[in-house]
Amino acid sequence: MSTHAAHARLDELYRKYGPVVLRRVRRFYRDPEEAREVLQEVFMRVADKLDTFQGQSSPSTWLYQVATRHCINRLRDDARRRELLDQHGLSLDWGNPVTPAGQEHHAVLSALWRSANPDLMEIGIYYHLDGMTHDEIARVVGCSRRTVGNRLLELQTLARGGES
Amino acid sequence: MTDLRSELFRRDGHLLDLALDRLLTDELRPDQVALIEAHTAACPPCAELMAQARGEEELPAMVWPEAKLAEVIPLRPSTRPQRSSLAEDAPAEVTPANRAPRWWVAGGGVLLAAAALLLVGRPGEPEWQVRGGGEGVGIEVYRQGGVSAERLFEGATVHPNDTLGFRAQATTSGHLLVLGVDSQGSVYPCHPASGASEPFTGGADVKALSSAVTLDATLGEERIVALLCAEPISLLDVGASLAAVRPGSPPVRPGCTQDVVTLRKVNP
Repeated sequence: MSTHAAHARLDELYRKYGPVVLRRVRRFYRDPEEAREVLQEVFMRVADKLDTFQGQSSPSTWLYQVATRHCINRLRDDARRRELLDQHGLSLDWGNPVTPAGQEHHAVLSALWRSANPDLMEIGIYYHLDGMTHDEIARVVGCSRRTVGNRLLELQTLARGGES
Repeated sequence: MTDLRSELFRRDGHLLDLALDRLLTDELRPDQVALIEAHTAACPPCAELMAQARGEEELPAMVWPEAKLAEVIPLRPSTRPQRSSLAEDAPAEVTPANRAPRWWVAGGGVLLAAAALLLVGRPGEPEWQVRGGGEGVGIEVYRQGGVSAERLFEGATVHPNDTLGFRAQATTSGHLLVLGVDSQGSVYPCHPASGASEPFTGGADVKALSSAVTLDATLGEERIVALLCAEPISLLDVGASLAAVRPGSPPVRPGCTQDVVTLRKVNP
């Protein structure tokens, strides 16, 4: 892809998919200004990774994953926010009207945040916050359904006080 | 649960965020769309989620970093706030003393005013190309900000004293003139600063234009109109005809193609 074509592709992606990326970012960042800042960071990542997108998934799916991973890494780097998340779990800012509740769920989310493994966190978010099925997670992440199941078991073990 | 439902719905039966994204970006099949519509008709929380998503606010203008933009536009760090770093050649410095004259076009009359300046923008197409995919001209508008340049798309917000630069592309060679029209109907030259067209070579490359302008304090809609004509033209030839020009309007002059970007100027 030429630099000109890459630039045009970025512009196209931003205009068409910027709104969906922004909505995804707001799942993690409720403050509008911060969300817009993160949106731009995500598209910087997209610019870096554009050549790696081979069209194996839809653009929305790919951007959804890029945005999710970026938010995870950003949250982990934010010491102040991490302290809150350590106490309250990742559901603190989720604000999803259909977020499931329950003590076990809360324990898993807290464990999710304690995990040092971003891949595990990503799958945990898709399962426990987005409510995806194993099949859908496997489709988004590009792994097997079995891998998804194993990752979620790791997370469950972590929630019960074991090591990830 | 079937694969079809797995792609669209959460385990608790509500609509997946990702499915909503794919719906809004037209990535779903008709049967999937029908399934979602049937669900939202009976599920108030999901219907509300969808309504919120459809009414999302305008995107902020994207600020591409210098390192990425430099691949297509040579950028130099700016040490002077009124100097554009967008153009390949040393850009015209815009100061109260030398900035381009403002042309007041009303009833064919032209009034030079000492204050004013404008911007130029780009078309609303999903990617950089001339309008309609045929022969024509396209324009991009950038706002300078320190060492980076921010691309301004159709409908973007700008502020007084913003410094703007431009890039253009055309499928054929001709004579290029870029003009601005503010909310009061004032027409002023963006490129060239003289208000007279200059030869422009068509081709696949998007070329940085050497002019830069600083916006004045007139608030409201600002339109940037790029004209590519077979014969030389000047602001005086077309100024009065720009009042009604909008993106997608027919050419203001026979033998010309045009591109329009509309910006919104507000106080910070």
